[in-house]
Amino acid sequence: MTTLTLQSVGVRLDHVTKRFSGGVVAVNDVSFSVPAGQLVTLLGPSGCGKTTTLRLIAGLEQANGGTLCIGERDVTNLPPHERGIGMVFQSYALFPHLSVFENIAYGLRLQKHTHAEIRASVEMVLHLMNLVGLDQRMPNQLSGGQQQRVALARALVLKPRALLLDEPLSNLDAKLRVQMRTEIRRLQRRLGITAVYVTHDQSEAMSLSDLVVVMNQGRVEQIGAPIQIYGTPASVFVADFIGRANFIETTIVAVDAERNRASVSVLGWTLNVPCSSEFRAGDEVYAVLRPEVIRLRDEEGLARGEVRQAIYLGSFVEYEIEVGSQTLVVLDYEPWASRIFSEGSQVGILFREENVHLLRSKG
Amino acid sequence: MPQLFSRWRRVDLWLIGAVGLGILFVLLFIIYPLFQVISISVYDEGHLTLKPWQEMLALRNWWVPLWNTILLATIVGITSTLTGFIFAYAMQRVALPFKGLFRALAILPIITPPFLLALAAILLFGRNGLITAGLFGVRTSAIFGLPGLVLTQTLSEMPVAFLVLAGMLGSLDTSLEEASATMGATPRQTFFRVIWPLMRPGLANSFLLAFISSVADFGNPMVIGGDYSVLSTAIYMRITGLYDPPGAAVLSVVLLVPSLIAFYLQSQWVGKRSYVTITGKSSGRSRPWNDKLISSGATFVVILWAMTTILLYGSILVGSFANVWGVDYTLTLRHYLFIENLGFEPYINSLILAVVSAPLTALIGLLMAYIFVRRPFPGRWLLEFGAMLSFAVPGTIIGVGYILAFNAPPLVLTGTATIIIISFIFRNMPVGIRAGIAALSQIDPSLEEASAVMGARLPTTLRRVVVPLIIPAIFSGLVFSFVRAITAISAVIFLVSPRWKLVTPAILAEINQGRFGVAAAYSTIVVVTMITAILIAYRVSRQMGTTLELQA
Ligand SMILES: Nc1ncnc2c1ncn2[C@@H]1O[C@H](COP(=O)(O)OP(=O)(O)OP(=O)(O)O)[C@@H](O)[C@H]1O
Ligand SMILES: [Mg+2]
Repeated sequence: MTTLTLQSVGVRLDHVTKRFSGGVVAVNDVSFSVPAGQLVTLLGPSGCGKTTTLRLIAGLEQANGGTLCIGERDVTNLPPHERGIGMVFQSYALFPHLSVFENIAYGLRLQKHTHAEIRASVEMVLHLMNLVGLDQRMPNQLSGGQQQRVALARALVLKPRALLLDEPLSNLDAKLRVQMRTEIRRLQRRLGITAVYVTHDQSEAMSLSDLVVVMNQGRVEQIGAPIQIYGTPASVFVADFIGRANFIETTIVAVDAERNRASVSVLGWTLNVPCSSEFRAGDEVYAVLRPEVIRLRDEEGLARGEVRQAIYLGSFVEYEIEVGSQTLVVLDYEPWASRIFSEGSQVGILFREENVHLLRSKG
Repeated sequence: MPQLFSRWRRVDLWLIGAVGLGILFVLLFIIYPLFQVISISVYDEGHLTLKPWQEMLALRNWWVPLWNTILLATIVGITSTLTGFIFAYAMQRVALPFKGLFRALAILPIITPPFLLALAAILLFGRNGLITAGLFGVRTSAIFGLPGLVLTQTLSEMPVAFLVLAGMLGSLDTSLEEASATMGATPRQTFFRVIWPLMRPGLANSFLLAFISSVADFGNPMVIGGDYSVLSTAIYMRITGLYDPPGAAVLSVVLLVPSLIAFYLQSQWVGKRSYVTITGKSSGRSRPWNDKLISSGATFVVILWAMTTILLYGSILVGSFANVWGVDYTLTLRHYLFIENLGFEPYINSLILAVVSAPLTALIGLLMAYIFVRRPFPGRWLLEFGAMLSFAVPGTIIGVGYILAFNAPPLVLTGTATIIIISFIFRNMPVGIRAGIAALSQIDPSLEEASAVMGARLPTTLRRVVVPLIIPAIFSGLVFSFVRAITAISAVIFLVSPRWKLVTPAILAEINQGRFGVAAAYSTIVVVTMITAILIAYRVSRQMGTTLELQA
C-alpha cells in the first residue's frame, strides 16, 4: 500500500488585518508563522477572530492589509482554489449529493486524473482514514465521527501544502473528541503535515500543538509552545484564559538584571523570583501563581491562611484559602499525600519562588 | 377509530363543529362543483353518455388546445425557472447595488392582475406598438400567440420561481461552496458541480409550480393568445360563445389531467427530495471570488429584466394618459373620464368583495391549519384533499363548476355576491392555510395545553393564547388573500353579473373592445391601489415588529 507523501510548506502571516463591512475589525495586525510540518493552534474566546484568520489563510476572505505567504509564494491576492491548501470545516461541509467516494474524489476529478489514478488515491486515503467499506454511502448515512474522517480524507487526498481545520471536533461527543484528536495528531506527525488548527478548547490546544497562538479581540496575545503559554503567560489575559491563576498585586522592590531575578513582596514575604529584563524597580506587577503550584502544609513558619472552602473532586481537592485580604485558589492533586483540610482550619502555604511568574498589572 | 373519536369528543365538541363545517364546505364548494363538471361530460338526462366526448373527438384538430397548453406550460416552466434562478443567484451571491429595487420589480407581477403584462406587451409590441411600430416602423401581429404568451407568462411566473429558489439558495450551507473552492474548484466549477446539482430539486419544484400556473392561466391567453388556442380559453368560449356546457365540461376534464399530474409530482415527489439544510448562518453573502462570466451574466439578466418590467408597467401608465396609443401621444385625462362616466362600480365592488372575503379566507385557513397541525381526527384526509384540490384545479374549471352547480335548486347562487365571495375564499384558501400553518408553527403546543389544562375551551384557547402569537402570519395571509381576490380572473369571469361587476373582467372587456387607453387607465388605478395596499401592509407589519411574508 503506497502511502501519502506530502510537500508540506510553512505558512506566514505578516501584519494581516481584516475589516468587515459593518466596521468590525475581526483580525487586527496579526503576524505569526507556522513552520513546515508543524501543527499550530489558534486559541481564543468566541468571536476573537480565529475562524476569520483561518479563512484568510484559505482565501475565503480577502485581507484588507498585510501579506500572507504559503511556502515561498505570496498568496495574499490568490483565490482559494489556487492556494493548494486543504480545509476541514466545522460542519464538515460534505457534499450531500455525492457518495463518500465521490466526495473524496471531488478534487481529483477537477485535476483531470485518470480513473485508475483516482480510484487508487481514494482507496489509499480510505485505508488511511479507516473508512474502508463506507465508500458507497451517502454522507447522511454516516456517523459524526465517520463524517469527520471523510472530511479529513477529502482534504488529504489532494496532498495539500498546508491543512486548515476549523474546530473540526466540536460536533463530536466528548469521548470521541479525545480519541479523534490523538488520531489527528498522530496522522499529522506521521505525514508531516503543516496544520493550522482552530479551537477554543484549551485542552485540545495543549495536547495537539507544537505552537499555540492565543488570540483576543482580533489580536495575537502570545505565541509559544504549550508549556510556555501555560508556564509563562505573556499577559493577564493569557494567564486568565489558559487554565486558572491567582493574581497577587504587588510592587517590585529591586531587580537583579544580571541574574534576571526580582525582589517582590508576596503574602507578606519577600521573594526572589525570576523575571524578564523589561522590569524595573517600582513597577506595579501581578505575581501569578497557578493553583497547583501551591502546597498546603501544617507546618509553622509559613504564610498562614484560613480554609474558606474545600471541595473534594475525586482526583483532586479544590480549596479557597483566605490570606489577609487575598483569596487564593489551590488545587491539591495529591490529597492522599498529606491530608484534606477542613473548612475553617488554619493552614500554612508553601510554593517555590521559581513558580512565581511576574506580569505587568497595567498594559 | 371509534376510540379516538370518543376521547376526542370529550375533549371538544367545538372542534367537531369546526371539522364538520369544514367538511361540509369542502364537499359543497369544491367537490360538488367538480363532480358536476365531470358528470355533465358523461351523463345526460338520466343516463350515461359519451356523446360530448365523441363530439369533441370528431372535431378536426381537437387535440390542438391540449397540445398548445402543455407546450406553453413546458416552455414557461423552463423560462421562468431559469430566470427565477438567475435572479435568485444574483440576489444571493452577487454584489449588486439597488438589490431592494430589483427585488421589488421582480415581485411586482405577484400583486397585479397577470394579464396587465399582456396588455402592456400589446402596447409595446402590437400592431401599433411603441417599439415595433413606433421605433422600427413594423406593423406586425407577431406578438399575438406563443411569443407573447411565453413573454407574459414568464414575467408573471418568474416571481414565484424567484421566491422558491432564493429561499433555497439562501439556506444552502455556504461552506459547501467554500469546501469546493479549497479543493481546487474554480467558482465556475463550483457553480456547476455543487450549486446546480443541489438546486435541482428546487428547480424541479419551481418548474412544476410554473407549469401548473401556466396551465391554469386564463387572462394572458385571452388578451394575447391570438390564434394560439389553449384549454382555459377554449372552455370559456364553449360556455359564453357557443353555450355548450357539456363541451366545456369535456375540455375541463382534459385540462384537469395535466394540472393534477403536475400537482401530484410537485407535492409527492419534489417536496420530499430536498438536500437543503438550514444552517442559521447568515445567507446572501457575496464572496470575494466570483466567476466573472456567471456574475456579470446574472447581473445583465437582472438589469434587462428590471428594465423590461419598468417598460411594461410604464407603458400602461403612459398609455392611460396618451390620447390614442400609437397614433397620438398627447396627454389627456379622457380615459379616466370615460371610466368615471361608466362609474367606478366594478372597482368598488372588487374592493368590497376582496375586503369581505380576505378575513374569511384567513379565518378558514387558520382553522384548517389548526386542524391539520394539531388534531388528528377521522375524515381529516377529506379536508386535506379539498384544500389540495382548491390549489391544483384551474380557476376556469371551478368557474364552470360553480355555474353548473349553483344555477339551479337546491342552491341558487349565480349572480350574487355570495358566490363570488365563496369562490374567492376557496380559491385563496391555500394562502390562508399556508399562513395558518406558518403561524401555528410559531407556537409551542405546550402553551395551548397549559391553557387547556387551566380549563379553557377551544375558542378561548384560540383567542387568548394562539391568536396573539400568530397575528403577523395571519396578517400576511390576510393581505395576500386580498391581493389575490382583486387580481383574480379565471373563476370570477364566469360568476360576474350585471349587478356584481368586478374590475378584472371589466378591464378584460375593454381590452377585447380595443379600448386600450381605458383598459390602461383602469389597470393603472388597480396597480396603484395594490401598491398602496402593500406599502401600508408593510408599514403596519413593520410596526408589529415583523416583516410581511411574501406569498404567491
Ligand atoms: N462575514 C462577516 N461579516 C461581519 N462580521 C463578521 C463576519 N464574520 C465574522 N465577523 C465578526 O468578526 C469577529 C470574529 O469572528 P470569527 O468568526 O473569526 O470568531 P471566532 O474566533 O471564530 O469565534 P468562535 O469561537 O465563536 O467561532 C466577530 O466579532 C464576528 O462577529
Ligand atoms: Mg469560529
